[in-house]
Amino acid sequence: MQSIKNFSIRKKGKGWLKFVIGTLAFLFLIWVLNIFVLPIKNSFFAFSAPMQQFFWSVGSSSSSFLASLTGGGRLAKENELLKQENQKLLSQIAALKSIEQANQAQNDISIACQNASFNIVMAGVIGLDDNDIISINKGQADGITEGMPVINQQNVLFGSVFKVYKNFSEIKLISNKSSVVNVKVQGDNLDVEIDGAVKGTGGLNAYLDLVPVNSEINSEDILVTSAIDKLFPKDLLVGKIISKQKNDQQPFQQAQISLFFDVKAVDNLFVITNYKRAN
Amino acid sequence: MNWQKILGLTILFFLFALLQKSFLAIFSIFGAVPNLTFIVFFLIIFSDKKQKNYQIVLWSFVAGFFLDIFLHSHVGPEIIALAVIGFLLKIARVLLRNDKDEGGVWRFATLFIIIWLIYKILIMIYLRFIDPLQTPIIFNLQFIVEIFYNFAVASATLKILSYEKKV
Repeated sequence: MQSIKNFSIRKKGKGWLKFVIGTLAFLFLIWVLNIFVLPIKNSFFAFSAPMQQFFWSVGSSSSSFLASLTGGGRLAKENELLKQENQKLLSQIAALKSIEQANQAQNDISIACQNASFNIVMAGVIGLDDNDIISINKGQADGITEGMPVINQQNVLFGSVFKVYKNFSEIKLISNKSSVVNVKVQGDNLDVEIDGAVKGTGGLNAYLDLVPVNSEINSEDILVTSAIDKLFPKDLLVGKIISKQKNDQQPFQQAQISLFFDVKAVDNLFVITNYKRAN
Repeated sequence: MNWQKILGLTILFFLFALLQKSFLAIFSIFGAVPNLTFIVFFLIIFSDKKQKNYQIVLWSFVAGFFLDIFLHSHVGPEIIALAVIGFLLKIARVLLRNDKDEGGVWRFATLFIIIWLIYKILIMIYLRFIDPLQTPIIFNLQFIVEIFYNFAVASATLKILSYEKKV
């Protein structure tokens, strides 16, 4: 009887030992992989980029096709053209308003000159994850470093470079839960500058916060970057106000906003490589 | 377990992780995307009652590795989360050993949702405290939609697999 007991205790002991050794080996393997995570990730991205790009393009086309089935093909195309045109015009208005408000001496600066002062690297979008991070097919080898702003051709802000590999980068969108972008509200009253912060909530959404409660904001007011924090150039389009949430007992008011970026419909983005950020 | 099964499932996990990040991301609902890799991992552990411990470790490593490569800054959070839920699922299957089909759908639904919640919470803890982004833990509409979206895809996949087994 005693020998059976001893045998079962020894067996349990060996079982625990196996479990501990197995767990330690497992964690050690993970630790070793993390030492080489950059070259491993870069190799995987390099290998899978053509497939990712293919799936992304197929997804975009299918999404447009489905939208056209439900909403009318002609209308979907027209809507897309109008959106692009609208964003172009809003970008020009934002720049012009800023010039008026700041009362700059050089009033003959054209929009083209302002845009041409950016050095940009065009990159293709190849993936999006559920933390509002997109992958692009340009990296360190193309002169990209962390923190660089990312926009589309209509000067709509998408986010900033969060992680850089040799040939690929990850972009943290402004809808990411940890993203905060300082903005100014461009309404009808040009004499007053209203500052706020756009905070990401995930799910490709964000809201406006930290607007002083006594400031007058309205729906359809446009939000542009203010460059107070020097993380992004000024006057990049961010979004527009849908509805405000005001409580007079709070020092700040908030607002529901609609972001201008459309990640699902974009194929190419532009990384601004010559904007000097604050450290 | 033969090498063809290992190779086939490895390729499947890789393709699903790729699809999640590219094709399916475009069809997100309130930001929620079906986690096909997780669903296949869950179904492998759920459907095989004789799953050995080393098989759970192997599948959690393979599936988690591809998820980590495509979704996170470090290699490890998905591997560890899947290993934890793999063993929890095995324990749950042993405790609920009942071969009758009666209440099978509800058992599957309850198990899936509980395991999914544990998995998401583990990943959220990593994202909040270890990931460079320090993403805050927010239980919003996306979180709720994710549960139902993934459950719907998992149920549909299980139905297809059960139908194929019968045929």
